[in-house]
Formats: sequence, structure tokens, C-alpha cells
Amino acid sequence: MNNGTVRKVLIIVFWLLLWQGASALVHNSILLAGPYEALLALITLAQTPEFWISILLTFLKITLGFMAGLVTGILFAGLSYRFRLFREFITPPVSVIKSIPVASFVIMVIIWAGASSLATVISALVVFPMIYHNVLSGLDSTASSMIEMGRLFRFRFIDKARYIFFPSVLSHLQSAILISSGMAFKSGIAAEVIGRPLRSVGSGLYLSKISLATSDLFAWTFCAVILAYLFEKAMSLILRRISSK
Amino acid sequence: MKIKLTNIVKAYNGKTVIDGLSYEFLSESPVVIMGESGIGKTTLLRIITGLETADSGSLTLEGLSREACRFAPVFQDTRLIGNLDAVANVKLAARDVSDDVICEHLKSLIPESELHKKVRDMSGGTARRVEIVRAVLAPSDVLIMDEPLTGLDEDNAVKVVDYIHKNIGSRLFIASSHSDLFESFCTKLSL
Repeated sequence: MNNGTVRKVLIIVFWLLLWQGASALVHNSILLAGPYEALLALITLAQTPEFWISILLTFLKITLGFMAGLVTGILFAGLSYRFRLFREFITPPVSVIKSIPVASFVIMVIIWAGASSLATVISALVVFPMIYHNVLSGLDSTASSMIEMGRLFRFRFIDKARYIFFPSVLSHLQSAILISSGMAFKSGIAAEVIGRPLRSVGSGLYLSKISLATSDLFAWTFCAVILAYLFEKAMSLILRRISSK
Repeated sequence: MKIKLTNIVKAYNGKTVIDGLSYEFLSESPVVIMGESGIGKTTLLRIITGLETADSGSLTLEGLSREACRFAPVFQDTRLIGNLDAVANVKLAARDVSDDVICEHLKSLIPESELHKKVRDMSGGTARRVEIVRAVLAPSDVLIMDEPLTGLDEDNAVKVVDYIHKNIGSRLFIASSHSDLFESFCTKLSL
């Protein structure tokens, strides 16, 4: 291990010890469970199939929502760039989607569609405006000189998209994807806590609240963080692949 | 074909750049536009290709409709796809031309070792020659070249002018240049 890694590990150990010390001081596992208790809770939870199913379902639903938001965001940005009128029409609803609190959406979705598709719809709604705005500003910032060149040489649509627009959209898209993937998981799981669909991370969190099991809360939270982290890593890996081509 | 300009006027921020120009460009008679920098050569070429519109006056095409007329330009500044090589850049504009033909043309102007180098790693002069080959090989009715000899030394400039002359075919040709090399086969239009 090099010096940097050792330092990182020591810093993490420091915070874990501080956490353990604080929980020992409080001496009340309902108020503040320590890392050891949280680890035990995680091990106990991990022995039930229900836990793995919940994690898998939440992950799949949020990923699906993220993809839906990503695809529609890119598509709508393309249409807005191409058709002025479409852009003007779509601007108010996009602003509304961006400014409505997630909790309001959650309640609307529960009423209209039920709790099972909640995480998907909410993460899509959170991701869509971010992707839309970033891709559109990437398209708007494409060098007009290159657009003129593609136009006069009558490039095919696919070549224009790939060689003229994509390079200027890419950096905008990259940052939007990285930020919105974290947001998708946070809001998707928050939505599950409110809507409590069967077999979900959100339900697990809710159950730990009503049973005052702080150690379970931390265990579920740990899972949520890991899910978001893995997703974000996978996304940045895919993006790096694409941009190096 | 014929491109007919009548009383073309163009001004930027109150300053008149082109003031009542009338001229007829014919496919059988290549033209080189000459004049000092800032006199309106680029503006005129942009009006002809439809990238800009004149404030007044008319531009008519005879022998081809405006929509059907295909322009193959060499722009004043370099406009290539930086992360593609020379061959791929030409291919994007000349899809129906085989790679062999593209390579042959490129080799007549740039060293063979440059053919598969990314354009962004090329010198300005080499990139310029790639742009000239691209314009020549792209299917077109009008060849428009704005200062095509920029960044080229005397030897290469002579080679490029010769290459262009040999490959114009039946197309209408308009170039702007500071060099008198084009006068060997072009009618001179002084702005």
C-alpha cells in the first residue's frame, strides 16, 4: 500500500472510531447505533432473501427510470434544438418538473400509478430535466463553423450527429449523467420511503424507522450508498469508453 | 451553369463591405477574386454559398435550382473533424468515392505518412491540403475556395494550384486569393 492509501484508510478508521466512541457515550442504540451494531444488522439482513430481492428490485427500478430520463432528455433536447417552436412549448413543463418538490410528485404518482412503479417514475422525472438542459446547452454551443461545413458538404444525419454535435454535447452530458445518477438514487429511495412499495430499500428504511432499529437504518443506508456508488462508477466507465473512441 | 449577381450590397454594423456588385460566374470560366484583406472576399463567397444573405440585390442560378446546387467549399479557417484522419475526413464529404481514389488524391498533395494521422496532429499546411482534396472529391456543382493557399510554401502552392486546375472538371470554380498563381487559368475579379 502506498502512503496515500494508508492515509485514506487511517482517516476512515478515525471516523469509524469516533462514531463507535459517540455511540458508546450515548449508550442508547435507538438514538445512535455504532458501526459494530450496524455491521451486525447488515449481516443479519443479508441472510434473508428478502433483503437481496429488495436491493435488486430497487436497483433495477431506479436504473430503468434513469435510462428513461436519459433517453427522453436527449431526445427532447434534440427536438428543441431542431425546432424552435418545440423548445418554446417544452420550456414551461420542463421548468415545472424541475421545480416541483419530489414529495409532491411521489404523492401524485402513488395516486395515478400506484407504489410499485414509483422509484422508476420519480428517478426518471429527476433525471430528465438535468439531461435535457445539459444536452441542449451542449447542442447550442456547437461551433457554427462546423455546422456550416456539414451543411454544405451534405453530411448524413448520423455523421453530423456523431462528428459535429456529439463532441460538443459529450462534456455537458458527462457531468449531467454523473450528477443525475446520484440524484436518481437519492430521490428514488426517498420516494420508496414515502410510497413503501413491497420489497424495496425504501420499505426497509421505513421499517427500521417504525421499529426504531437505528442499526437497521444504517445497514440499509449503507446499501443505498453502495448502490448509488456502483451505478455512478459504471456510468463513468461507460462514458470514458465512449469518449475515448 | 451560371451564377448571376446583380447589385449585391452587404453591410456589417453600418459599414458597407460589398457595394453594388454585379458579376456573372460561368462554369467554363474559373474566377479568382483578388483584393486586400477585409475588402469583402469572404463575405461574397458566403453569400454565393447561401451561408449569408445580401442586404439587397439578387443572386440567381441558371442551369440548376438553388436547392439542387451542391457547393464544395474550402473555408477561410480550417474545418476538419480533428479526431479523424485525412482519409476519413474526405470520405465524410465524398461517400461514394472509394478509399483507393481518396488515397491517390491525398498522396498527390501530402506525404503518404500523413494519410492516417489524426487531423488535429497535422500541421496547418497539411490540413489545408486535406481540405482542398475534400472539396475536389465531394460531389458538387460549384467549387468555392476561400484563400486555399493559406499556410502553404511556394512549392506546395504551385502543386495545389495545378491539382485544382486538373480536377475542376465541368464545375464552376470561384477562389479568393492573394496569390497570382490562380491567374494562370482563372479570370481575375478585383474587389
